[in-house]
Amino acid sequence: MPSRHNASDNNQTINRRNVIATIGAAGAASLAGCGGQSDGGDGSDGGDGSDGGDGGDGGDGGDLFPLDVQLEVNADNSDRLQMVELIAESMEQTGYFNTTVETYEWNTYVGRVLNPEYQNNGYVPCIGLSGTFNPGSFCNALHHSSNIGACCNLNGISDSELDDMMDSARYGVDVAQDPELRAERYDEVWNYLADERYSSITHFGLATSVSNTDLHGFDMWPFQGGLYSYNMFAPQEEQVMWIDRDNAAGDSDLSDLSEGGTLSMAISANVESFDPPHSSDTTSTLAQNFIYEGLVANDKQGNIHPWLAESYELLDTTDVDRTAYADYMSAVGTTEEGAIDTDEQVIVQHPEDSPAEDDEVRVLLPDDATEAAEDGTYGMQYRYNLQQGVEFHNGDELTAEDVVATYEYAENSVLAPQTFDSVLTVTQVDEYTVDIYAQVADAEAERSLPALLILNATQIEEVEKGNIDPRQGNTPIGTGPYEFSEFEDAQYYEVTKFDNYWTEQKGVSEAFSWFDGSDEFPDGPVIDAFEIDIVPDNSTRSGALQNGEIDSTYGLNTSTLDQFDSSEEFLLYEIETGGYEYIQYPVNVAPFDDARLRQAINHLIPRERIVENVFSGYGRPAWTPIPELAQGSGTADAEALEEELRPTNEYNVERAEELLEQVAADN
Amino acid sequence: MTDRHTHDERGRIRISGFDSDRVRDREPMSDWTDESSGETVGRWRRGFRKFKRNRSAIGALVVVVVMALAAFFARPIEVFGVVVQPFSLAPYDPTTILYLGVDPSVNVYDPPSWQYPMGVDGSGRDLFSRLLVGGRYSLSIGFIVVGLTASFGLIYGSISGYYGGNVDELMMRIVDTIFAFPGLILALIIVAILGGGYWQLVLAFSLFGWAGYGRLVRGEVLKIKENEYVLAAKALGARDRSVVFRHIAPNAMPPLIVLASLNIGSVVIGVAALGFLGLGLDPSSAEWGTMLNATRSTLIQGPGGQIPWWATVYPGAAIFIFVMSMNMIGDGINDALDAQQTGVGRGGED
Amino acid sequence: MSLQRFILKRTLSIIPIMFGVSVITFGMFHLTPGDPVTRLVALNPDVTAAEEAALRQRWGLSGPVWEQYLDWISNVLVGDFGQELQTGREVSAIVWRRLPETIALGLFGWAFALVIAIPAGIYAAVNKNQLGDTISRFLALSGISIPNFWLGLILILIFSLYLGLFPVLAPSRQSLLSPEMLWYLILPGITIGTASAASIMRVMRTSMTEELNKEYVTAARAKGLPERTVILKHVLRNSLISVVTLAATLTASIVAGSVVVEVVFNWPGLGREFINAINQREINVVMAITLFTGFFVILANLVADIVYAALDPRIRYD
Repeated sequence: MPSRHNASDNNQTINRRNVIATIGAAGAASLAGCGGQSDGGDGSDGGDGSDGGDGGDGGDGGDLFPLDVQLEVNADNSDRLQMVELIAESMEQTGYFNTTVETYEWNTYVGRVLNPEYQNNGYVPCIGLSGTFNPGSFCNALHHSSNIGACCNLNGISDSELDDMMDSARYGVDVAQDPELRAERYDEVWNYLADERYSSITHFGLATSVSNTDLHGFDMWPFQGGLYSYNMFAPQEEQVMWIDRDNAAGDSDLSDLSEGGTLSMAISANVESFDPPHSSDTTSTLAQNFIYEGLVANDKQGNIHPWLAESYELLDTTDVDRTAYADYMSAVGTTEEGAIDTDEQVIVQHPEDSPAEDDEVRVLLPDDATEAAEDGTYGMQYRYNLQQGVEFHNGDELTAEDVVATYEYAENSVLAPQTFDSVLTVTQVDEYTVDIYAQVADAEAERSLPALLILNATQIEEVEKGNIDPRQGNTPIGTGPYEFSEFEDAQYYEVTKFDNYWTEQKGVSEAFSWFDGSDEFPDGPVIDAFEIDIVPDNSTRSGALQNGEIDSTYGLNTSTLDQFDSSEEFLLYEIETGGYEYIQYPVNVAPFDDARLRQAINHLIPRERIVENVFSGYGRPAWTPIPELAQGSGTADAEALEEELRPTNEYNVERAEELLEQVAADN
Repeated sequence: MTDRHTHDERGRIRISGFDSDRVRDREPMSDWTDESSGETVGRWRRGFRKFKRNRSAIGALVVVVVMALAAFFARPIEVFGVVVQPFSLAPYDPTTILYLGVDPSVNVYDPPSWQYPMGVDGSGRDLFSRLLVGGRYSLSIGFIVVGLTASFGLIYGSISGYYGGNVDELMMRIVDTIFAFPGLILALIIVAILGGGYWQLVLAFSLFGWAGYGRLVRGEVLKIKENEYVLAAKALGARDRSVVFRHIAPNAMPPLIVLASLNIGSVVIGVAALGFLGLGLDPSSAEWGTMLNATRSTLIQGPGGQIPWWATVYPGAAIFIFVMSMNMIGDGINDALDAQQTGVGRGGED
Repeated sequence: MSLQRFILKRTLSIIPIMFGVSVITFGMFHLTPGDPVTRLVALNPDVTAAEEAALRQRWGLSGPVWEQYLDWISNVLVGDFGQELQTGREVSAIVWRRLPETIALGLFGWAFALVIAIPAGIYAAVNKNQLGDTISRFLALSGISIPNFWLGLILILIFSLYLGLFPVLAPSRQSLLSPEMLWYLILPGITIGTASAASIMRVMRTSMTEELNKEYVTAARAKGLPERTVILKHVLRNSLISVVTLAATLTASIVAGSVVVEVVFNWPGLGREFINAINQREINVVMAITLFTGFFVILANLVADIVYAALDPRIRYD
């Protein structure tokens, strides 16, 4: 794991948010943003003396039951808290459990549950994650032993059989070349997890957005950070939004498209950073997506379309594991705390060395990684041919140099762990061609290698690392369709259309050889400017929308969404996301080491009630551990999987009591 | 006057003298009445009679007593496993989620009905039960804080006023310093440092909340100090402590009581404000301000949406009615005891 | 003592209080268990002991407490409140940017309070024990009893949402001095000013009542001056003096109120920043705003005392 200590480099502070984000080293998951105001309750329960348990028929299990169980949750997410209380109450009502729910302020909570010692407490924590197209983001983050003390194997699950199963579903020439095999391997993982039941995923979230009828051609995108960039111009799905204040949206189509106008909208959190690799929260991503673009773009199924790269191809796949880089590695000392002591980005750490135990570890540093790749030691080699004539907002033309500089800039950044989890190195082939190498044969490489937003090499040269931010006096420069215009911290953000946007210069069908859509589809975004208010309070955004102060927003309280849906003046959009919440059992603490106890509690989670009563129906019970968007690569047959796993996840008090009696009998 | 040594000497004289037993044996209320020609005991009696005639104050007193009793008898109270209060006015436990087990047909934010007279809250819990139990937090914190701060302020102010000079100067500068911070700001910081919770809240409002009483009592003491009976007591060799606590402090009581009764309201609003800001008690606790915070988002519904007014109106009204009643009682006591200068200057706490 | 000497003496007297304010502010954060670094490190188990020490050094948290205090206060005196721990931004810049918003809100609240309370107080005193007096007294009592966050929510509900008269969003792009700011200020201003209005009204009524019973009023009336002149020229002036004594207390109330009201209205001022900073554990911001609040209230007290002294010829400067 890269040395994040040294990441505190030039900023004169340890960025707490960075630290938290950096911990998501599995590459897939980042902690779901916790909007809304947070809470200072440092966990002390206000002395609410009464117990609420009504006895029930439990208690005949000798000394074990009723079992005291402490569930833990952050206080600032009222829906999540409500859900945990519901689970606790459900457990309590069986009479087998005495539950307490402890709440913590968000930062305190994250620090608490990510501490490797946490697993010894025997508590049941609840947290939310946001997964991606990568099926691994629904199992690795929670269960892989490498994520103990990181995000988010909170209770120290260390099951080498499971680790191997998850690794072999992603890495290796076989799965990299055979998507079917990969899907089957993940199916094995889901079944294994259903038996072992280390965690219980409760539900998958729905992303929702509400606009007035002036906004036409809008649709949902499963990731909040890409919601507006997807809607402003996505030829891969012929998606473009426009403003027409005279006609009501609803059944308008491309032939009604009108250009121009300013869209007012409200976002739910401050833009913490305009520096893409130095931030990972969704709002910053949302703000950056106006300005920057990536080498490729996804569609809703996770299919990849070349974007700033005109085309790309997989040149070679080789069967190496990470020990193959041993010859290129240098020995580096470790600190007392078991961290690797170097200022450089650690690309690969030798799997046989342990920074915690050894005084020295072998690591692959950036320059040596390039050398290895040039010598032919790599897992995969992808070649990206860049679009020519793409202009940055400062007038520079996009070249291979910008791409290489971007990946170098990402070293020791917030995104470094997830980037250099798969990327070995990036090399310039000629002015418009780059090669990106993967460390090992990786089924996820096609999506994960080109994941960074491309920055301007001149700007990278000029600014201090992490300081591409108007608050530091630096205007962010990208190739995107909108230029940075104004930003007032925690108040508003404005972008205006970039006059020389490259797809408009080229024409959409010229720019994208894969484009086979309608002639009426425009060559670029049609809205002139965005005025974005930063309004953390959901209700306030709702009020502003109804009061006509903004045209569009997202993340309104679920209890109000039906009302927007049935209103003539507003349009509600929804889509299932990769967001999920889960509780995790303290498997290393008796009696939770008994899988039957964990299965029993899982049967006491009223998943349908949670979705209906806590989220007003805007969510989907997690009958399987993967949501729709990951089903493409994550299961051979989603329906069969659900049929198989659903009975293990049903709310079933009888079954739970049966299991609990078995546990009791053995004690 | 601040020289301890001389006082001790006087004290010694007193011990061998003739006055001490008489002073000690007297009722605290009456020991100064002889010397002050019976006027002050009359003040209390007259005040009491006047208060009884004040219909709004009596009405408010009834409201407060009813609310306090309702909170106390809302749910059984156990102390170390022993039930000390078996009654249960509230039909449900404040944490019971009705749709789980009790009544599956209940939905979140069900409107008031015969069965759930104040409706159901956003987690499916009975609001009436929560409101009753919630009174325990606000009321008890209010009374405990005022009890602590008024007692400490009384002692502090008495000492400061009685000794005067440099002691007074220093003690009053400390009070001035505390007065530079609005009470809510200090409470917020203390809760931010210590975390939320019942005793943290008590501490948050007590730690600096005594300053107002200190200043008030000190002012009263300065007035009383030069009175004949105090001078007489001192001349007779009464010890400092005894002069302060038997002669001066009781005289400062009327304005202190008025301020205290008004302050209970301020503390209750303060506790609710912290709860509303999400910094008070545990977010699922039934404290009134915390309940308001939890349902705050429901005030703004979607187009044509019905606001579950019961979830906002009842907890808010509970705070409002209680504080208003306390203020009416405070005004009533103020009128009755003629301690007029304390009826003003409120608002620094809320 | 002359008025000038009183002013001088009174002004000098705030120095020890300011010192005390800074000690309390500093002490609350540094004498409590777990200084900012300890808390930060608790969040991040990977920080090494050396880095922890370096952080302490950088944030002035090493060495004895009094030394830390001297470091801190000497920086504060030149306007340097340090940086935000998470972003490295200058705290003083944050405070200066938010301050005008809060001042605008506070001034509006004050203006509202005076405009409502003084006529109401006069009316109540002149019509003592009549229906209008009873109603206004009841309203005043309600005004000091109603939780301001509750009042704010109700006002938004009625005037912004049902009637659509006022914006829901707080101002973000508008200049503070532009006329449209008025629309943004009205609801939060009323919310913040209500408690003060109620207090002032009660004081006005009491002191007017007292003044009206005084001999000079009887004399003026006997002279045949019109009642209007008696009240506006003589009684009002003397009654207002008692409002001035209240002013400092009410300023503190408005400052505290701004914390809650700014959160309710999402107002981009110091109060909201304060709550955000508390939630984010941004100690430097919390300390800066706390200190600022203290100094502001002290100054308000000073000004109130001076005005009081200047207004009331009877006051003895001692």
